[in-house]
Amino acid sequence: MSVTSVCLELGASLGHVQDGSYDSRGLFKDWDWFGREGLWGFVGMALSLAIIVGVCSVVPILFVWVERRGSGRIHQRKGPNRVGPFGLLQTLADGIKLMFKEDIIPANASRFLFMIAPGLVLAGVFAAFALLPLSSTGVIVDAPLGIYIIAAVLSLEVIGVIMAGWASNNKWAILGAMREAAQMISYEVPMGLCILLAIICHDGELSLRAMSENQAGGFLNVGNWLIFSNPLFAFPAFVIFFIACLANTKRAPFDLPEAESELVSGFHTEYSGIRFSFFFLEEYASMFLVSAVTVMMFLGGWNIPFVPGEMLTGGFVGEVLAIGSTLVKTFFLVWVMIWVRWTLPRIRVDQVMTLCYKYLTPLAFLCLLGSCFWEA
Amino acid sequence: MNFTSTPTGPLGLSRWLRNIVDTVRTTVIGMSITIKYFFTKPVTYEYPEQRMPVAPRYRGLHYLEQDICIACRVCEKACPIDCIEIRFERHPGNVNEWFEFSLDYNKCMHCELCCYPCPVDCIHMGREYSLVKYDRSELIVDLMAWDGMRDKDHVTIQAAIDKKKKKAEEAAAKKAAQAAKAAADEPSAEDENEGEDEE
Amino acid sequence: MGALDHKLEPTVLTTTVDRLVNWARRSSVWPMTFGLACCAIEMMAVGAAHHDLDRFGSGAFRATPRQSDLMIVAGTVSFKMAELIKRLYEQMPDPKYVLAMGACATGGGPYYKYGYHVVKGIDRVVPVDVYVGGCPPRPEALLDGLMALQAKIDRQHVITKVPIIGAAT
Repeated sequence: MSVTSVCLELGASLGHVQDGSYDSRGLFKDWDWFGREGLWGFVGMALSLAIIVGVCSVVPILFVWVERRGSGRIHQRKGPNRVGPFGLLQTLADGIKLMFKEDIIPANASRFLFMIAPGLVLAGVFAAFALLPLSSTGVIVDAPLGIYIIAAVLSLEVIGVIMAGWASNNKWAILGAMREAAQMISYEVPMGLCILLAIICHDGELSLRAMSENQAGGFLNVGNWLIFSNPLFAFPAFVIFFIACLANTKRAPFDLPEAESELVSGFHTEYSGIRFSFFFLEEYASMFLVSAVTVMMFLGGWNIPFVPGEMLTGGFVGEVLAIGSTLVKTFFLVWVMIWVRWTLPRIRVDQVMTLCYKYLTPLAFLCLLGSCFWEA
Repeated sequence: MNFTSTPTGPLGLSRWLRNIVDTVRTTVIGMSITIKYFFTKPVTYEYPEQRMPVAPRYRGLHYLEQDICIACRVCEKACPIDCIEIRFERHPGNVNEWFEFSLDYNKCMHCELCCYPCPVDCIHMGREYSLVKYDRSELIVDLMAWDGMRDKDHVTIQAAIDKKKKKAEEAAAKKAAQAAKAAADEPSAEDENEGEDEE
Repeated sequence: MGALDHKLEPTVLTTTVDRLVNWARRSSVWPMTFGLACCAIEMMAVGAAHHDLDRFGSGAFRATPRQSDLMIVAGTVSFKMAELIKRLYEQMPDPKYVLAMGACATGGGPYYKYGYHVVKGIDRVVPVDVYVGGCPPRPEALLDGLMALQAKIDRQHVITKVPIIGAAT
């Protein structure tokens, strides 16, 4: 919760950087079921916060299950099906087991850094959740600089990873951490360019909520989705952004930082028990986060085909529909990530860099340039 | 996916474009294959409930047909790593009193060499495969169906002894008759005959 | 030996916590990638489609000993490797389990007689929880071994730390 409050402060202060022209919708402006004053107001606020935080922390656990079942089906096996109904309690069992496992800190490790690194990694991702709108009012902090802050907070993660790798005093860990640093910083370039493209196409809006609202309307409420309204340049940009997200979240085929066949387990080689589970959770949480950001920027946000955009921005039914549609689209992108992981083999470390600097970056520049003309 | 420069030359624009097209094409092909398998039925056998059929000549855990085993110890000698241990005592009437016929699965490599030389074909490789124990000593498996002797073995031994005794008595009687006959002709020594009886 | 050892009687609370923790532990026994010889091929087969170790929640083969619960010693253990087995075992966090798979690991196997280089059973190096016989065992036998290990985990006491004495078959 403290992470969230820190982020509240951050978002609020950045939100007031601009003049009063921005209509900030943060802190559940319309979610005042019990009013805004007194104890009940506080309860309603806490409930609203609990919904967002709950969704954001439960879905990664769900994704682990989806990944294990999905990979099973791709391999024509069944996946976990003995722990709870359909193996749904599998991740819970994993978590409890990891909590009760011995927490080893190697003798030669840098103790303090070793201990705080997983927390830092997790905090980076969960802080970004505060800025993530699930619907037009279902957002903790609706900062006008939303996407900018998310990109910045997400790259905090690499500090935690380097910290973990260095503090472990293990050659595999440091190699993994260095790969992670190189990969993440490189892929920030095409990622940033695609974000820039989205900002340009959304009339200079940096708030994810405003971007999503911008995509309402059009043909069947689909025509204004960025990948459809600007198919020639925004669609390739969407693909490039998605690939960069894969690399940023260390998902296969870019899982070089934890390449099991080369580096034992990469930067978290020396981590056991609950600290390892932080890294585990972080991976799935950031998958959810970057997918949701992609949805907000390129796939029309919470807009649903055939449903008028105005209906989704007000009222209880509209909120539920909007959150549902955001989650469905995000789940689809997460599923694509899982699908890619169980399809493609891991690429070499030089190929990762080649892909980034020789292919994705020029293509992203082309798309950016093209959509400048398209929007003009 | 060929991202690196090959000896054919530097990365030109045409190869750059071709690489992109190839990458997209191969990725789409690969992903269509995996999604195809996603929608096929899993082939998993839910093991404890369903069992995979075992190959017809599968060499699993041994079983012994103890009632036809003649304790010739050929299998013990044939075993390349001495994992068969046989201890028995032979009684009259070809009855074996069994003390041990054990197979040490700490050593056994299921080569089936013990089964081929068996003259009465009494040791076989079974189709059971699961041998899970909490202690290493329990992996030395006793193949015997019974320890020592069965009730009918006592009967057989008794019958054999009786038969032998009867035979000996008959032989003695015969000899005695012969001796009597001979004695009628001429006197001879009876000591030799008695000595033969006792053998 | 913890501070609470033998001071807590088994009560409703402790037995419930025991049950929960044992359930979690038995439901997610993550094995370590530790194949040494031909048994490793069968171990891979257990992870593959026909047998699917993942059904029991044990499909997450971890490459590092720090994150694994179960060391499946699958294959011939030479004296040179025995040192590393010992080291890897010591690197694993508690609670940790060892499963000896196949004749070589349980007792030297075919190398018992003339193998100058083979450890005659890894229980001379690390404590073994479950022995699976066979050369190599079928994947089903390894699944049986895993289930036997789960049965053993179920008999643990987490809070009072009563040691398992004389594990029955």
